[in-house]
Amino acid sequence: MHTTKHSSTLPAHRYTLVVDLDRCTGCGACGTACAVENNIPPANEKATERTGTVWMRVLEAPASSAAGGPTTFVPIPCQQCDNPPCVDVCPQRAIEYDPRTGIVGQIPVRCLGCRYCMVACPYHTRSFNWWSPEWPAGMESTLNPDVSVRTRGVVEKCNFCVQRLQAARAKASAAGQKEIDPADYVPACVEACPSRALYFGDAADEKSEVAVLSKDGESFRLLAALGTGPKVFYRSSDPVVRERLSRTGVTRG
Amino acid sequence: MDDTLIGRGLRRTTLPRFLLWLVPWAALLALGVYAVYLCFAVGLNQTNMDNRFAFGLWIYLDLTVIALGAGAFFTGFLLYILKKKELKAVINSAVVIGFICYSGAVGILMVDVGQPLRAWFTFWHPNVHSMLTEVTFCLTLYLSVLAIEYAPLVLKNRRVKEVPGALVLEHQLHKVMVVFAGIGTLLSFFHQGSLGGLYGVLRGNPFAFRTHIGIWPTTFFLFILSAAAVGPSFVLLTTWLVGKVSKKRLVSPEVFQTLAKISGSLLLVYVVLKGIDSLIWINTASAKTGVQVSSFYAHPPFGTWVLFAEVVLLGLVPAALLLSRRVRARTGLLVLAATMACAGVVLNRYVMTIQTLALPSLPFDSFLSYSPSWQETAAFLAVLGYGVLLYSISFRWLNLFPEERELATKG
Amino acid sequence: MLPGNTDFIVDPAHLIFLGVFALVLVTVVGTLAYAIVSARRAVARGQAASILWHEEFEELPASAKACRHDLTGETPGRRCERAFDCKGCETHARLVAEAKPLPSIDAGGFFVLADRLYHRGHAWLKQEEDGTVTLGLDDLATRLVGKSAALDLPAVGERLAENGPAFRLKAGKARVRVVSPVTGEVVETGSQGMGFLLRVKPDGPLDTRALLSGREAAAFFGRERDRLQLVLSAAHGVPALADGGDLVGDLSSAIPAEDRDRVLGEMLLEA
Repeated sequence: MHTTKHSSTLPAHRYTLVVDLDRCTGCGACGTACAVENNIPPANEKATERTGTVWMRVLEAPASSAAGGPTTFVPIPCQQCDNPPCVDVCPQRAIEYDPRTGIVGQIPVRCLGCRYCMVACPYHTRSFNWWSPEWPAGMESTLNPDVSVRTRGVVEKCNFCVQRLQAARAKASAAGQKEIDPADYVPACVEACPSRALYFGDAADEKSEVAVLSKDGESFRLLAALGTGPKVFYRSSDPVVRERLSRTGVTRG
Repeated sequence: MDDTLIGRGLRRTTLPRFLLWLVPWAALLALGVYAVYLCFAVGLNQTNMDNRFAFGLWIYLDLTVIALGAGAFFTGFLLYILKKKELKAVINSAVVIGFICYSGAVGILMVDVGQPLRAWFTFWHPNVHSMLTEVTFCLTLYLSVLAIEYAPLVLKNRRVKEVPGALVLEHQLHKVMVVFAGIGTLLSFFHQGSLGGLYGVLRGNPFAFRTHIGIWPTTFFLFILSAAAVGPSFVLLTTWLVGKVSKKRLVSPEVFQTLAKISGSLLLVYVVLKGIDSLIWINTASAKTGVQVSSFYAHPPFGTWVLFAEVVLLGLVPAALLLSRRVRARTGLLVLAATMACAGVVLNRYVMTIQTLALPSLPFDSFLSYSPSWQETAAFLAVLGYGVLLYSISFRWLNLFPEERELATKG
Repeated sequence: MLPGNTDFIVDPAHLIFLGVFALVLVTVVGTLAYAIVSARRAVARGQAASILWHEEFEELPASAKACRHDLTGETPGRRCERAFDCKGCETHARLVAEAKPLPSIDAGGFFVLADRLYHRGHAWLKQEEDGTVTLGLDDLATRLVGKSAALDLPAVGERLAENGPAFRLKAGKARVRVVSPVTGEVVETGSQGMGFLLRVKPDGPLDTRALLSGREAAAFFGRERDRLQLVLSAAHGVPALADGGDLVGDLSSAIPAEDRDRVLGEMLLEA
């Protein structure tokens, strides 16, 4: 039922992220900014690449051509699907698809930690808190008061810094405006990217940068064939990169 | 005290020998309890699961024991609803095994989730579209039904029945048992199915995703059928095993025949439908996602042999064996066939849980491996220890096999 | 989950799902409550003893459920399904009406007295001239429990129910119960030496249709003797009375003490 609702009527606002792979240097500033903004604790000393809590991962894709060539770095936050496989499987509605913004939100205080959503998500953008969050002494004062700290044993993920959207709405409503100023709502990763590889905006606005970029021939989405309808687009001028990253992983023997 | 608890006319080993038998299983349980304590106190970082391999040994265990425990509901259904009277000889044992399997699964599930104290949230904020919601609701209810079905066995214990009214309550419960058998069948139908649906609905995973019939993927129906098919085989297997360990004749040979026939017939239907489902999947999966099914089997060790083993070697072959009168006449072969049937479903659950997660998904993912930590393994084995303990105690002090007394006198 | 809950969703899927869940829950709880309430009511009505009898009848091995007309050879292989209550049995009524001459039966070395009616719980009943009945323990049971068995008789004035406990016996560690063939009030207690154990004033006219007499009883004892041989041979691992001869007079001293509990449990009802 959720499925039909999501795919038949698209939200009024469609907050969208476009990642320009040609510009990404793999510096990881997006992930750091994300962790600071969203109160993601420093990794436990025993955490591995597969057990740490990360909302914005930067992965290394294989070389762009058979002969070698430059490495492609692929930043992967939650893909904010319009037809999210995770929402349907959560037994207790701890994941919500906001029909006004298209943002898939996680409610960690309601999460049971069953990890079914992690199994359902083909992008592996969800993290389970295998350890209790711990900040070194003094570092608590750097915590963002707009974002709650999550406990051990729950699943969390990127929500396009939805607290910034709320702040922008509050500002707009205080000024007596119905709509927010797009400049007021920019996720931390986009703000932090030194090479300006990340574009963010409302794709429902046909004239917005993200609407234009996401529709041109150089943009594609990960695992588009699965029909999940991600709102994170990737673009590259290299057709080999586009072809390689559009595929489904299992097809590589 | 012990000998007055043993049912009249039943012969059991001496108390010291019985206690000695319990020791290793109790040790296994104790180790598992310690592992569970670590998981609660330190966290699930004690396991080898991770963000990528988010389900592991425990979910596999849940799926497997619930399939094998299906003997409880299916024997109850055959006995009370279809009036297959000869199955009265194994119903008590089937109920105990069902209770062990389901309570073990629910117990492990409570360790597996990160915040077990929030389990009630599923009831309070249910997402009825989630297969896991269906599983949670049905499993909770069915475990209560199994406890109610277990109660008469305890009430009939030689000492318990001396409590005024105990036997009267047992009598009244027995009279309404058909209601519980019916409810148990309904609940089992849905949770066996929704356990299958758990994977069949995964739109993001072309290996697990299946065509839907109505609101349910085909795995929903295949899980029900496969569980109903191996349930009787597992009852046969455990009854034989208990007979061997206790050196007693517990049921007449006709009971094994009936169980084998039912198991074989259902297994045959299952294998045929599983074959058809696989063909549909092979021919339609790539149309939707562009993924050739052959690529799912290009990642060793999961070759096409897995599918062959599941459908033919441990599906068609045991079905044919169980349906052959010549095989059924020889207990050794019969037990082998029942074991193969159970192994087929155990493999199916393994494939659904592990292969689904191991296959790469993103274009730059690689095939993933996972091996459980000692804590996961210990908790897994604790379920086995718990099961043998509870079954041994039930076997000693409750009358699990109504025919045992008469068979013993026949000599 | 409940209407009024902050995020209760009213849509067909949720209503159907939660409706079915509620229905199943109510059925489970309701059925359980029904069983508990009817059990309490049955206890209050004094039906506990009769239920116990039915339960134990159900647990009897098939061979011990032989119909009385199977014993006499009239309906070979017929098994009783009514807990030996012949009163409502149509087959019994028909066969009695046909009144075929009974084939001759081997008495099996037990005393079967012409003036006694026998119950399969091993009690006998004798109708006295004053309208009362006397109850006692039949020959086989007497020999099984032995002379030293301690008797536990109900007091004068206590009520007996048909198939409810009449009296209890204790032989060594084994305790057994003998059920009453009649409903009524105890008016006198006797002893083994007096030739009866209880004198009972029956409620209303005496109905003895469920009890065995004459050659039926003799055939019953023959069967019981065979069953006892099987039990004894299972206990010793060697066949007793391989020649099929008569049993010794004092069976109780012939059974080893460690087997007595089991043998008595097999042949008589547990207290």
